[in-house]
Amino acid sequence: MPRSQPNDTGKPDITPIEPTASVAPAPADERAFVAALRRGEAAAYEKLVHETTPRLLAIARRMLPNEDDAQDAVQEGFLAAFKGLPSFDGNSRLSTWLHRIVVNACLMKLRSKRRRPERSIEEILPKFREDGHAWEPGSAWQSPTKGLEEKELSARMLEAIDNLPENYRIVLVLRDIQGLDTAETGVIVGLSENAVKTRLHRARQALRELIDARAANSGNDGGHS
Amino acid sequence: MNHTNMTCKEVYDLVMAYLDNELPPDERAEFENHLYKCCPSCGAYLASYQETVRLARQAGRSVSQDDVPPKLLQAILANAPRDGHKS
Repeated sequence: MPRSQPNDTGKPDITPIEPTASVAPAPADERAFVAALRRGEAAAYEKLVHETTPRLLAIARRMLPNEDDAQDAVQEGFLAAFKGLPSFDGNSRLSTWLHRIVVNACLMKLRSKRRRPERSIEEILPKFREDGHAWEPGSAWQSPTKGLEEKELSARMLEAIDNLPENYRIVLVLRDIQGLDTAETGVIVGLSENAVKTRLHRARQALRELIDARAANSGNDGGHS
Repeated sequence: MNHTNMTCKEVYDLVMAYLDNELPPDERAEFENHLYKCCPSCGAYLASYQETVRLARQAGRSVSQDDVPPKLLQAILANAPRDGHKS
């Protein structure tokens, strides 16, 4: 069900869309943890790798279509992190720093390969008339939920996310899928908080177009206008 | 359709800021006036935007984070500095 349902006042109930999770341990614990890593304590490395790899691999899998590439990017990211640990300055959380390294490894891998052509975000976003009003009513949109089992629906959503342009996909993955906050996402992708917000909003708008059930029913991937 | 001064495009641009409670009071009032008094279509857009975010998050939760190949963990740890050998 949509989160905005009419109430007695005729207005939808609006719940702010908040990040869903924090990825980092408490800073005080973190300083001790980083010190243990710097001392080369095997237990600390075991903990770091076992606790963070699932999340990092999930991000890499959304960024890279090939499973081997995703695993390679995570492995290369950790290798770079192990080498770079002495220069980790503590200005960001350890997990944020690690995310940034793995995201960069994914981007390098993406850019080193011949990629499929991407649609521009402008091509996907809603269209407006010259007077600023929408070309088609918002009520024309059809949720993809109808007739799909939960597993099929999730597969359809992930496929649509994979079809977002790379620079928008990564921000949506970090904010809406991984639940990172705006500041952490900005550090990871090298954008200001305002730029993250703009990119996230456009990614969500584009995703809405891509999952419109009318597009699936007409046999294209959201290019209606 | 009877619209206020705020256009549909402006409303679409402000949806996220509205949901995050980041609009100043006068702009929020104008936004809500457009949505709830003048343009139900933009109200539907807002609902579909929220539905999109909800479905994306649900899809993200459906992806198991437990299916990390043990070989990958072993390969990563094989590169970790050992006790007494600082990175």
